[in-house]
Amino acid sequence: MRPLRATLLLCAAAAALPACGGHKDEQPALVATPPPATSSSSDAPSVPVGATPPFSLVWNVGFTENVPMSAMEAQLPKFIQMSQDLWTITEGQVWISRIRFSDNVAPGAEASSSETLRVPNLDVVIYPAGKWNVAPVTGETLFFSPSGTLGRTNRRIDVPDNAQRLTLIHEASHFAWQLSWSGNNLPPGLDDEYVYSPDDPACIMDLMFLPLRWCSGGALPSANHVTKNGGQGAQSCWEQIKLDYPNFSYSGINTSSSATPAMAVEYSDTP
Amino acid sequence: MRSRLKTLGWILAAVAPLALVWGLSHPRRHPLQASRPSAATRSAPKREAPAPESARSEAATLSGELIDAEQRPVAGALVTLVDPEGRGDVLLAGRAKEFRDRDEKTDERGRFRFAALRPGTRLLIARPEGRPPVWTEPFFVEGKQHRVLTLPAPLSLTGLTHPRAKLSFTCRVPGLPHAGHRPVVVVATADDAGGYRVDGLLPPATPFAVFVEAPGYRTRSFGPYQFPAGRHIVDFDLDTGLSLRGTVRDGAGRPVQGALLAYDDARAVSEADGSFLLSGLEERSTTLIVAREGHIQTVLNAVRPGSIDVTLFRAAEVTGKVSGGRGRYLCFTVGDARYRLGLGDSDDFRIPAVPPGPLRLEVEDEEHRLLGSAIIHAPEGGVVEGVEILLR
Repeated sequence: MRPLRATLLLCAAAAALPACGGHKDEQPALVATPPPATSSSSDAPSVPVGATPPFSLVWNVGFTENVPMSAMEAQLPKFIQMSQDLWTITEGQVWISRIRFSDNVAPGAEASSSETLRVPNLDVVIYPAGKWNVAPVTGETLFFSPSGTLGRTNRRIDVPDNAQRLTLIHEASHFAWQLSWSGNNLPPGLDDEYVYSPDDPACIMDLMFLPLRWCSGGALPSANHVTKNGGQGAQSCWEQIKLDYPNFSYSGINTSSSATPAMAVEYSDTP
Repeated sequence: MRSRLKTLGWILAAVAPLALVWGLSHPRRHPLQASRPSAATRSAPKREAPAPESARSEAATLSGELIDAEQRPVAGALVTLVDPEGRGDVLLAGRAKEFRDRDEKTDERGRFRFAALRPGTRLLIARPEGRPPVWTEPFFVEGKQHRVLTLPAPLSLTGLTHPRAKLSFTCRVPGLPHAGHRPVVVVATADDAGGYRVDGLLPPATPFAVFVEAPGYRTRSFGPYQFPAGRHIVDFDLDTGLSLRGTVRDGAGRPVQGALLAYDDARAVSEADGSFLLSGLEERSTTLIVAREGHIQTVLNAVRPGSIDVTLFRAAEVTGKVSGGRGRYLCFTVGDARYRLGLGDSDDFRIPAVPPGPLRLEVEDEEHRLLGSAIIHAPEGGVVEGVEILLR
């Protein structure tokens, strides 16, 4: 009995000790309990945990001002490009199947007050470039709580109407995944990589060079980014995606041999 | 009692090795000991030895001077005091919402000064016109501090690339987030013969990458490079990639001039004979979008490089009225696109652009329920007047 009691106490003591090699302020990434498998098509703006690829997203995009139909049509190529980029980066696993454009959602709004803008049906807000008064930021992703208070879900993208391709795919990368990592105030989506070591300037979340890709690490193919150990609790983009989305895969080719599925579009124009 | 002591002995004997291993893997540092950056933490903001709490809560002042390698003052240079924790592109509870970077220009003696600073981690970047930038590592600002920034010896690059190519030399400043702060980028444009020359590039030995764009070629990034001070020759050669050529015509077969074509990053405008050429393409299927004022935007999916003829219909105009009730939207569908035009308070409507041919116009309520419809036949580029849609 004595050895048994001692063993039990030892286990309790060992559990109370931090893991060897870890850091005091480092929090391990959480692995979410997989919910029931999700259909590959839904109205979801970001990929639900437990989804199976390929998964299509639906985005509601609102222009703050009352703009002509032609102004909405002019944004379509950028969102089609973004869907193609998302399809490429995810190696044919995620794309945007439908965009719903509307206008006049917040006349006069400026980007600097984005956190007070309540647009409960929207995932993306487009400001006129003249109202984008938060430069040098070129696009933003807001994460907020409780869910749905400032947008359709717990996140929203804000961009000016002259946002460039790389800005859109960068913000879409923040937005697309529902990640469970925790640590130094990480968002529930991909974070900006550039603040923390080690550097990976080729990651879209970093300096945004071509070819487009997210960083990978650990035992993943094409590893170029080791797990961060600066106390952020974060690791490479693909490592965290793989943790939260075990049904998704990453082969390291950062492209897809199949064409991006078509995107449907809806325009709702205020007179 | 004796048996409990024995049990305690067992526990201590078992726990001691674990505690030893843990202790070895967590080297203790004195709180005031400046940590030496490891490879893994080199760009994380570092704090110098913190001052007593009372000093740290007081407003700080940072002065400094910018000099060149010969110790001469550099006047008129933009100096940015960067707060790496300022607003970025991710807004999240607990992250800063304010931009905290501050700019000053050096005076004739190369001096600059930032007053009324909240103590915290900062870094300095000086960008003198036509000369290489210089920056500090992140440091902790408190009390009164003075920093001297010395411009590095010049690093120049020259070489050949493609005519009128745009070259962007980008480097990472350790500790400087990309979003929310002005990046350190030097841009140059090649001449008509493809030659380029950049003097006073980045500080020597700074890793940098070069992003090269040229009309008709596939955009590409090169690097990272790292050069000592001096003049270096580097050529940048881009692939022509594949091309997509064709003609844009309206529904009657007439060429359409001035149509904008978009295919990935490639853009082209159709010529007077409707012809176009998109080059620098990758071998893959992607979407071709063709648009022109007064025409119906055309989206063609799964197009590969090669050749294609595009039909870009001239838009027709439709006017009419809704009777028998009040609808919210007047709607129609073109391919994968659904158009909803708000009806407003008037019963009359005008649709400036519909595609030619048979088209079903529908009236929906706020919840997109169908209230009524009518089928029209629009002539290409023409007008349909007097359409009446009777609501149920």
